[in-house]
Amino acid sequence: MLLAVDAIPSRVSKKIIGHLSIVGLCATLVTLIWFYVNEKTGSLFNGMYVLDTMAIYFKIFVVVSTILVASMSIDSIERFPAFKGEYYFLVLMSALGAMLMASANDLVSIFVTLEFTTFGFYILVAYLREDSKSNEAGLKFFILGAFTAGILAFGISLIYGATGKLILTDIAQEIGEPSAALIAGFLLLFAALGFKIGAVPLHTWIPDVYHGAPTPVTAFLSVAPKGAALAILLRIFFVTLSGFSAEWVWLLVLVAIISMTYGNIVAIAQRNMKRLLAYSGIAQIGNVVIGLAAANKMGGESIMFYLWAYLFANLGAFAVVISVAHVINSEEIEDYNGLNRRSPFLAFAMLLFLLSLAGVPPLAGFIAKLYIFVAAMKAGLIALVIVGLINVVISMYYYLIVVKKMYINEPSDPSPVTISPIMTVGISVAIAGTLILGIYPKPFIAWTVDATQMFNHINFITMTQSLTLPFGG
Amino acid sequence: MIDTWLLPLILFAPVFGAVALLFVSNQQRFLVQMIAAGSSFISFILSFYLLYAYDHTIGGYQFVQRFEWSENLGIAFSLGVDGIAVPLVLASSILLFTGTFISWHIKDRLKEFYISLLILAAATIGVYVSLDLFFLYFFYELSVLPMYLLLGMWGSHTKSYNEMKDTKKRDFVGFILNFTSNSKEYAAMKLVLFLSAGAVVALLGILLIYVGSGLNTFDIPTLAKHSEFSGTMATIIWLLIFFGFASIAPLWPLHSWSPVGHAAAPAATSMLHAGVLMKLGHFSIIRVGYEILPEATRDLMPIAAVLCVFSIIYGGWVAYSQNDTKYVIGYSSSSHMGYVFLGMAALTYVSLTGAVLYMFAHAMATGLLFALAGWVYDQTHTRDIPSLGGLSKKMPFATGCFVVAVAASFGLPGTVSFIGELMILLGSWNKYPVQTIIAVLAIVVTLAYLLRMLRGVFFWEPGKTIPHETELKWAHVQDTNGFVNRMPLLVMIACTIYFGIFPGQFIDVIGSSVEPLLAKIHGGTESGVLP
Amino acid sequence: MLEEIFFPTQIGFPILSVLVFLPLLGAMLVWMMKSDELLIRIAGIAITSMEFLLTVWLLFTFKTHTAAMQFVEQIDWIPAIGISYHLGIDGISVLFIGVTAFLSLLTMLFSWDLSIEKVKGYVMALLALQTTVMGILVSLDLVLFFVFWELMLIPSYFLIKLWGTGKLKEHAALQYVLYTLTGSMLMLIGIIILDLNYQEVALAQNIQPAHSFDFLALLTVPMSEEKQLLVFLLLFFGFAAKAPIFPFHTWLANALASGPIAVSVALAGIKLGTYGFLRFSIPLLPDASRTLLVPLSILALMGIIYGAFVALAQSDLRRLLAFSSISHLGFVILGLFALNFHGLQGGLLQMINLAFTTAGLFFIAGFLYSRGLQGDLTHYGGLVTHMPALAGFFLVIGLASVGFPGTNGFVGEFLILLGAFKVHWAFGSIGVLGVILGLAYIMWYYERAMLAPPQETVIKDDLTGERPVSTLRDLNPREWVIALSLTVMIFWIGLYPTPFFEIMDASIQAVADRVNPSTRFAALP
Repeated sequence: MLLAVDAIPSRVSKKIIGHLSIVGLCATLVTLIWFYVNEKTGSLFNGMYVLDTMAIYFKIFVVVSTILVASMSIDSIERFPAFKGEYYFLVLMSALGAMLMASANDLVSIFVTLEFTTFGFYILVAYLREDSKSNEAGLKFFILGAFTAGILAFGISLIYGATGKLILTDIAQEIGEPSAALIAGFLLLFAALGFKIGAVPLHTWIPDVYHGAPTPVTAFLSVAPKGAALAILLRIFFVTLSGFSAEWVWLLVLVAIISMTYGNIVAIAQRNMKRLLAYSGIAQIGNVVIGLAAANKMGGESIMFYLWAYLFANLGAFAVVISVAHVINSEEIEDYNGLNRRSPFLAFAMLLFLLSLAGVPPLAGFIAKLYIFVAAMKAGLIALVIVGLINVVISMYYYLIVVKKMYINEPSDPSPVTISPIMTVGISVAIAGTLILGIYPKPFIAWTVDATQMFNHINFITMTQSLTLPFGG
Repeated sequence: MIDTWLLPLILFAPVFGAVALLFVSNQQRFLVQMIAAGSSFISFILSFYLLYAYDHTIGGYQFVQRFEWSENLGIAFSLGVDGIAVPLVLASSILLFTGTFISWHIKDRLKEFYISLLILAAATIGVYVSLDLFFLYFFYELSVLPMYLLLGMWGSHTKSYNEMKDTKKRDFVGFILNFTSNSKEYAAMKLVLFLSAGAVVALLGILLIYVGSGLNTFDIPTLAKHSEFSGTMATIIWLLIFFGFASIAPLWPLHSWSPVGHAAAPAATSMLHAGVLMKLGHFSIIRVGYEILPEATRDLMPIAAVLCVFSIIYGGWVAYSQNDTKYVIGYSSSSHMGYVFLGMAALTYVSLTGAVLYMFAHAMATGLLFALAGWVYDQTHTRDIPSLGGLSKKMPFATGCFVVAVAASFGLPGTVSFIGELMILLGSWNKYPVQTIIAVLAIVVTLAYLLRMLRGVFFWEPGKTIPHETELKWAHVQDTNGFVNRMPLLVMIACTIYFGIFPGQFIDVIGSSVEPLLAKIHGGTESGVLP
Repeated sequence: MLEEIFFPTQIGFPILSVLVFLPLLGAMLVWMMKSDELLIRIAGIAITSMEFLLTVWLLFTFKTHTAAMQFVEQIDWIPAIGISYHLGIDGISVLFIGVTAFLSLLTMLFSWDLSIEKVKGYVMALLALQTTVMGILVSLDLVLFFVFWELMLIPSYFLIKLWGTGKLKEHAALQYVLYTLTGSMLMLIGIIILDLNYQEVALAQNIQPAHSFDFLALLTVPMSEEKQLLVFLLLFFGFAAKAPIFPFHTWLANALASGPIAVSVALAGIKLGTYGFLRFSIPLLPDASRTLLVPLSILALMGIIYGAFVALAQSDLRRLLAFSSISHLGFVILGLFALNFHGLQGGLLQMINLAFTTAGLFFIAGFLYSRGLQGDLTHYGGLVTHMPALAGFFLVIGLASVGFPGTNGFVGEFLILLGAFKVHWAFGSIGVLGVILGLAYIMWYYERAMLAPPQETVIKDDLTGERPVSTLRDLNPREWVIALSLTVMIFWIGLYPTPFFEIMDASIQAVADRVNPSTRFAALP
C-alpha cells in the first residue's frame, strides 16, 4: 500500500519529465489526502515503519514542497550543462527518502531513510560540475554528511546497547534511570539530526552549501529534509523522551536561543541573497526548536504549522531568487535594487515571503510564530519567548533592507524582468499559501491538532507552576 | 441589516479597495483614484453613521460581530466598538478619506501608494474595532509595514541630508546616525524597528495575559470579566503592555522615531500617522491595560503622569527650535500626546472623556497641518522655514486653512480641541495640579511655535533687496484649487468646528464607556463618576 | 442667587445672541462678496449701524433699578461638565455693549476712506472682533466667556499683523498674543478650580449636575479663602495681561503704536480686562478681593504714577496714549478695589468714559496719521493754525481723558478718588497726584505739537512722500461726525450722568453688598 504511494513515475526525458513528475507528485498528494480523510493508518515491520496522522502530515508536507521545487526547477534545468533527466530522478528519490523519514519509527529505519535522503542531495548539491562553488559545496556536504552518519550510527548503537530496543515507543518503556551511555546516545542522535535541520552549533555547512548548490536544490534542501528530520525529532523527544522533558528542555532552549540570535545577527551582514536566506533559515530553525522546547502538544502543533509557513515563504523566496537570477545572472542583494520597477509581481511576492519569514501579519509567518510563542509561554519558557521576540525585531531589519532595495532604491538597469508561466504558477501558489495560512489558518490548525493526537499524553509544565520561578526557563 | 455589517464594512472597504487596486494598471490613473476614493468614502460615511447609531444610553460594546477563527487557540475574529473606539474609528476614516484626496497628484506608483495607504488605514481601524487581543495585535502589527513602504518609497529626505555632498558619508550619516539630517530610508527603518520593538513588548504582555489567565481565550470582554492576576504578575504585565504600546503613542522617552517619521513621510501618511496611528498606543493601553488590569492601572498610571510632563515640555521645546515644518508639527504632536496621557492618568470621568475627545480633535488638527505642510512642500519643494515666506499672497486659501489648523492645534475655543483640552485640565487638576499647570503653560508654547511657523511660511518676507523678490521666487506656486484639493481641508475644518460647537453626541458616546471603565478601576467606591 | 429675567418677557427675540452673531454673519456675508471695495465698506457700516440701533433699542428696553440679569438666554451646551450657553446682561455689562457698538460704528466710519490693502479681510476681521467682544460682554457661563475671550486673539492678531502701521507690527502681534494667551491660560486654571469647588459642594449636597461653570451658580457656593486667593491670582493674570495692568503692560505700547487705529480703539477703548475684574473676580471671590485690597491698590497707584511719568517722556503720540492708558487703568483698578460703592461706581463709569476719551484720542491720532503726521509730532509745532477743528477736538477729548471738570473724566475720577479716600487717605492723595501728572503730560504734548511756534515745515511720510505742512487740511465731514459724537458723549456724562448711574447703580450695589455685607452706602443722586 505504501509503496504504491511512493512509486513515482520518473525517468522519461527532457523537459516533459519535469511536468510529468509534477503530475505524479500531485497524484501522490491526492492519495495522501485520501488516506488522511479516510483515516488510513497502519504500521509495517513490527512498528518500524508507521503510517499515523503525523506521518501523513509530514508526507504531504514533503510532497507539496517537492511539487513546488519541481515547478521552479523546470526553467533552471534547461540551463544545466548535463544530466537534465537525472535531476528529477534524484529529487524524487530524495523526496521519497524524506517521506520515508516521516514514517520512520525505529532507530534503524531512521538511519536508513536519513541516509537515503542525503545521498540524493550529495549529488544534487554538486550538480553543476563546471562550477567550483558547487563542487566545493558538494564536497563539504558530503564530508560533513558522512561524518554525521557516523555520529548517528554511533548514537544508535549506544542506545541499542543500553536498552536493547530499536523501536522508539519501546525504548520509552525501557528507560528507567538513564545511564551515561544512553544520554550520550541520545545526544549523538540529536547532534546528527541537528545537522540535518541546521541548528547552531551544527549549522556551519549551511551557508556554503546553500550558496554553492544550484538554487532549486538549495530550496529543496532548505525545506523537505528539515521537515522530515523534525518529524523524527518530534517522535524522539515527544514520544521516547517525553518523561525527561525537564532534562532536555535546557538543551533545546540553549540551541533555540543560539540559533535564532546567531542566524539573525549574521544575516544582517550578508550581501548574497542565498546566504541571507541560509542564515535566516538557521534563525527560523531556532524558532522551531522553541516549539520543541515547549515540550507540550501545542509545541508539536505549532512546529508543524510553522513548517508550512516556512515552506511557502522559503520556497517562494527561492523561486524569486531563481527567477531573478535567470535574467540578471546574479544573486547579490545589491542587484535587487528597484526590482519593484522591473517586475512588480516578483517584488511583491518577495515582499510577502520575506515579511512572512519576519512574522508580519496577515501572513502565515505571523500566526506560526505566535503559535510557537504561545506554546512556549504555556510551558513557562518566558525567557525564551523574550529572546524570540527580540529576534523578531532583529530579523525585521535585514528583511526590510531587502525590501528597501527592491522598493525604494532605483534600479541600475530598468529593463523588465520576465518570468515563465510555470514559475508564475509556482510563486502564486506560494503566495496563496502564505496568505491563506495567515488569514484563515483555522483548518490548518485543526489539522495539526489532529495530526498530533499521539502527543495528548504529554504532561507539560503548566503555567501556574512555572511562573513562580520569575522568568525561569 | 446595516448594523450587522457595519463594522466589517468600515473595516474591509479599504481592504477591498486595496485588493481591487492590485488588478488595475497604474496607467489608468483616474480609475485608481476613483477606487481609492470610493472605498475610503464608504468607510467615511459609515463611520459617521456609526457615531450617531451608537446608542449611548446602553453603552458597552455594540455592533458586535463574532466569527470563530481558531477554537484551539481561543481566537475569534470579534468586532465591536465601545464609546472610546467610535471617535477614533471616525477619525481614521476621515483621515483616510481626506488623505486619499491629498495624495491625488502623486506621480510615482500611485496605485501602490493607495494600496499602502488603504491597508494602513484598515489596520488602524482594525485595532479600534477588535474585541480580541489577538486581532488587536494582528492589526497593530499590520500597520507597521505600509508605513515603511509609504515613507521609503514616497517620502522625502530632510534638507540637511540633501545638502550633504559626500555620497559615502551621506549614506553612512544619513542612514545610521543622524537625526535632523536623516534620509527617508533611515526614518522608515527607525520607525519600523521602534514600532516592532514596542509591539513585541506588548505582545509579551498579551501572551502573559492569555496564558496567565488560564481561560484559553483572547477575547477581551471575557478576559476583562473573568481573569485574575496576582499583584506582581499584574504589575509586570501592565508595565509590558504600557511601555509596549506607549512607544507608538509616543510617550517620552520612546518618542524619537515619530518626528523623524513625520518628516520623511508624504502628507497623507503623516496625517494618518499623527492622526490615528499614534492613538493606537493610547487606545490599546485603555483597551488592554484598563479593561483587563484595572487595579494595576490605578496603581501604576502615575508613571504616565510623570512621563507626560517630559513629553509635553520636551516636545514643545524641540518643536520651537526646528526649522523643518514637518519636524515642528511632528514634535508638536508628540507634545500634544502628553496631554492625552495626562488625561488618561488622572482617571476621572471628565479627564478620560476629554482625553479621548482630544485624540479625535488632535487627529483633525494635525491632519490639517500636515496636509497643508504637504501642499506647501509640493509647491515649493522645501520644508525649510527660513527658505519659505511670503506665501500668503500666492495661496490665500491655504493660508486661511493653516490659520484654522493652528487655532485647532493649540486649542482655540470653538474648535473641538478646546473642549478636549478643557476636559483634560478640568479632570486632572485635583489629582495632578503641577502637571496641569505645566500643560496649560505649554499651550502658550504651542501657540508660539505654531505662529512662528505660520509667520515663517506664509507671511514673513526677506529683506526686499530685489523688487518683487518673493513674487518671482514663488512664480510657479499655486494655491489649493479645485474640489480635489480643497474638499479634504474643508472636511477637516468642518469636523473641527462642528464638533467644537456641538460636542454633545461625542461626549455622550465616550462617556457611556468611560463611566463603567472607571467604576471598575476605582472599585466602584470612589469613582468620581458623574451620573 | 441673582434674579434672572429671560428675554421673552422683555423683548420678543434673543437679542443678545443677535447682537453677538450679527457681526459674524456680516463677516461671512462680506466674505462671499466680490472684492468690490466700496460695497464691502458700505456693508461694514451697514452691519455696525444695525448693531448700534439694536443696542439703542436694548438700552431703552433695559430695566433700571434692578440688579437682575436681563435678556437671559440659556441652553445646555456640554451638560456632562455643566457648560451651558448662558447669556445675560445687567447694569455692569449693558453700558459696555452700548460702547462697543458705538465704537465699532465709529471705527467703520473712520476706516471709510483709509487706503487699506485687502479691505475685505480688514472688514471681516473688524466684524469678527466685534462678535468676540460682544460675546465676552454677554456671557454668563465662564467657559463661554473664555471661548470668546480666546477667540478675540485671532482677529486682533491679524489686524495688528496684517494691517498694522508700525515697523514692529509682526513683533507686536506675536507679543500681544503670547502675553494675553499666557494670562488667559492661567485664568483657565482658575476657572477650572472654580468649577471643582462647585463640584465639591455639589457632591456633598447631592446637587445634580455636579459640574457648573455658570456665573450665577458659582455665586451660590461658598469657597475657602485660600482657594479664593489662588483663583483670584490666576484670574488676575488673565485679566491683568489683557487690561493691561502694570507690570503686565509691556505689550500694550507696541501693539497700540504698531497696530492699526481700529485695534488701538478696540484694545484701549473697551476695557475688557478691568471688566473681568468687576464682572467675575470681585463678586465670585469677595474674601480674596478684600484681602488683596491693599496690595492691589498699591499696584494701581504704581501703575498710575508709572504710566504718567513714562507718558511724559514720550514724543510719539500713540506711545503716549498707550502709557496714559496704563495710568488710566490704574485709576480704574484703584476705584474697583476700593471695594465700596463709590469706588466701584467710579471704576465702572471711568471704564465707560475711557471708551470715549482714549478711543477718541486714538481717533485723533488716526486723523493725524492719515494726514501723514506720525511718530514724533513735537517737532512740528503750530499745527493748530492749519487744523483748528482737529486741534479743538484734540483739546476737549484730551482734557476729558485726564478728568477736567465738566467732562465725563471728572465725574469718574472724582468718584474713584472718593472711594479711595474712604479706604485710606494716602491712596486718595497719591491718586490726585496722578490726575495732576495726567494734566501735565497731555497739556505739555499738546502745547509742543499744536501751539508752539512752527518749526518743521515739511512732512516726511512713507505714504505720501514729502510735502509742506501748509497743505494740511482740516477735518472732513466724516471726521467731524466722529469727533462730534464723541464730544457729545463726553459732555453728556460730564454734565448729566444720572441716566448712566440709574442703569448701573443697582448692580453696583449688589456687588458692593456682596463684597462688604456689613456696610451699605447710599447711592449718589
